[in-house]
Amino acid sequence: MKKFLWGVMIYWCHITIQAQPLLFTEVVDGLFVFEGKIADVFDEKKGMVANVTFIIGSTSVAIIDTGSSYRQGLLIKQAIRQQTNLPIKYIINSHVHLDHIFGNQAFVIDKPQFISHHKYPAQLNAKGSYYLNRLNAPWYAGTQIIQPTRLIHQKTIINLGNRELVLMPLINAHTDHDLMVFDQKSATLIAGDIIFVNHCPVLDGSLIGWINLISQLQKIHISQIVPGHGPVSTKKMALMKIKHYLITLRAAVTTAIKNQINLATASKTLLLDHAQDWQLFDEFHQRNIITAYTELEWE
Amino acid sequence: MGMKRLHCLLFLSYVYVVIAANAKPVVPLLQSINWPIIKAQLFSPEQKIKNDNLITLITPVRAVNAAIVPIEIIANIAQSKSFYIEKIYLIVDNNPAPVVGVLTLSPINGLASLTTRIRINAYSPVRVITQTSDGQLHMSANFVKASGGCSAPASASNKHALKRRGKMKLRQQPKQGLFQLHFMISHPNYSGLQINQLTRHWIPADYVNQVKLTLNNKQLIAFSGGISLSENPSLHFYLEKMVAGKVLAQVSDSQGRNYQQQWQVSAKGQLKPLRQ
Ligand SMILES: [Zn+2]
Repeated sequence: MKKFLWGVMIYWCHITIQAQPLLFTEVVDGLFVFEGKIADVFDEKKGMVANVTFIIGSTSVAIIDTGSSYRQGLLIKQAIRQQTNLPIKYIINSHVHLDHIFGNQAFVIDKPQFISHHKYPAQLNAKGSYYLNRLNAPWYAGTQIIQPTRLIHQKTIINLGNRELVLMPLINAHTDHDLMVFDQKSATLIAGDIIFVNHCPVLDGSLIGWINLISQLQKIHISQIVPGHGPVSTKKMALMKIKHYLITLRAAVTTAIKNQINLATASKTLLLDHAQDWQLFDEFHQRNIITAYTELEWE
Repeated sequence: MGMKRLHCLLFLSYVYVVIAANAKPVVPLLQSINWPIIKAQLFSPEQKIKNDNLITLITPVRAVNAAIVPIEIIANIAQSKSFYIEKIYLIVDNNPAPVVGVLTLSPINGLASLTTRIRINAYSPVRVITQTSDGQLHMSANFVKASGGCSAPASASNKHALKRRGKMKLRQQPKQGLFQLHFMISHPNYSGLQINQLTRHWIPADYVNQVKLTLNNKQLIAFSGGISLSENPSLHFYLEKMVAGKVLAQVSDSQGRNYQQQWQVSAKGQLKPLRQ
C-alpha cells in the first residue's frame, strides 16, 4: 500500500511539474529570461536547453526564441500570462537551430509577426523536417514547423509601446542567419547563440565572421547580455571567454593546416586543455575543429 | 523488407561485433546485410579476402559530423617494386551508394597510407579492401556510428564551395622519410539526397567522380568514386620522392565538367601553382 501511495505521489508530482509554467527570472524591469539547462538537446527528455526571453512593453509583448517543442511553447505562454495580458505581437527567432524555434506553434493562435533573418527560411526548408525527425520522443508529439511572416534584411526597430527593440541581422557567425535583439531601454543584448556562457560554443557558420562580430560588440555600450545558452552575464564576462576560445581555435587550426596535420588528428588533439573552461566540451569541441578546419583550409 | 527488420539485422550484426571485439583483440569480420551483395559486385567468388594486418583503418567510433567523417588508412608495408598495394577500395556498407571510391597506387608512392573525408548515412561498417600486386585482397573494417551524412543539409560554407568549384590546392611536406602530399579540390559534391534550401526540391547529384595526378606524365595516384566523399574532397597521400618538373591534376565530375591544374616542382621539391 505504501508503495502504491508513493507511486501516486510521484505520478501526481510529475503532472504538476508538467503543468507548471517555466521559471522565468525578471532580469531587468519587464525583461524575463528562462535559463535552459546546459545539456545536449537530444539527451534531455524535454529538450529545454536554450534560453527564452520575453519583453513586456506598454502595449505588447515580444518573445525571443521559443524552445524546442510545441509543449514548451505552451509553457512559455503560461508564464507570460502570469505577468501580463497584453497581446503577444512579435515572435523573434535568433536562428534556425532546433532548440530555439519549435515552440513557435503555440503562438500561432495569437497571430503575432514571426520574425527572422532573411536567410532563415532557406535554412528552415533545408533543416526543418530533418530536425523534426530527430525530435521523436513523446514530449515533442504534434510539434510542427512554422514559417516566418516577416524577414529582416537590415537593422530594424520594432516597438512594444514605450519600448523599442533593435533587430540586428548578422552576416556569418554562429550560423549564416543570426538575428540579435537589443533592448534600448535597458541596454540588454539578447544575443541568441552568438554568445555562449559556460556551454561550449557551437560553430555552424563562420569562425572568422564570428570573431569579427565579437570584436565589434566589444565597442558597443551594452549593460548585460542574455546568451543563447547559460546565465545572463555582464558584457565583459560574456565576451571575454568566448572570444578567447574562438581566437585560440582559429590559431590552432591554422597552424595544424599549415603543418599538414590532417583533419582526423587535428579533431582529436587540438586545444584539449580548454575542456575545463566549458561544459559539453566533449560533445561540441571536436565538431568545432572540423567546421573551423574546413573553413580555414580554403582561406 | 521493412525498416524494422533492417534495423534489427543491423543491430544484431553490431552486437556480434561488440561481443567479438571484446572476446579477442583480432579485428572481427564486420557483417551487414549489404556486404555480401557489395562483395559479389566488386570481386569474383574465387577471390578470398584476408583479415590480416596489412592495412589499418582508423575511424571515429561515433562521427561528430556525419557529413565530414575523417578516415585514415595506414599501410603497414612499404611500397616496394616487388610487392605493393595497387588498389584501395573504400566502402560504407549502409550508404545509399556503398562504394565511396577506388584509389590506384604504385611503388612511386613509397607508402600507401591515405587520409580523406567521407559521408556516412547510417550506422555502418566502414571497410577498406586493398589489392596487392600479387592479386590478393586484404581487409580492415570498423563500425562507425553516424547518421544522416548523405542527406544532411550542406554546410554554411557550401556557397563558397559552389563559387570556387574546381579550384585546387596541392601542398607537400617531408614526412617519415617520404613526402606527404595534400590535394584538395573545391566542389559542393552534392549527394543527390540533399534538399535545395530555396526550392525545397532534391538537389541533383553533382560530385567529383575522377581524380588523376601525374608528375612528369607518370601517374601518382588516381581516384574514381561516387557520392560519399565529403564536400570539398581532400586527400593526403605519399610520394617516395619529389622530382623536378610538373604535377598535373585532372578532375572530372558527374555532370561532365573537367578541371585541370598544374604545379611547377622545383629541384628542392617545392610546389608552385601554374596559371592555366
Ligand atoms: Zn544554435
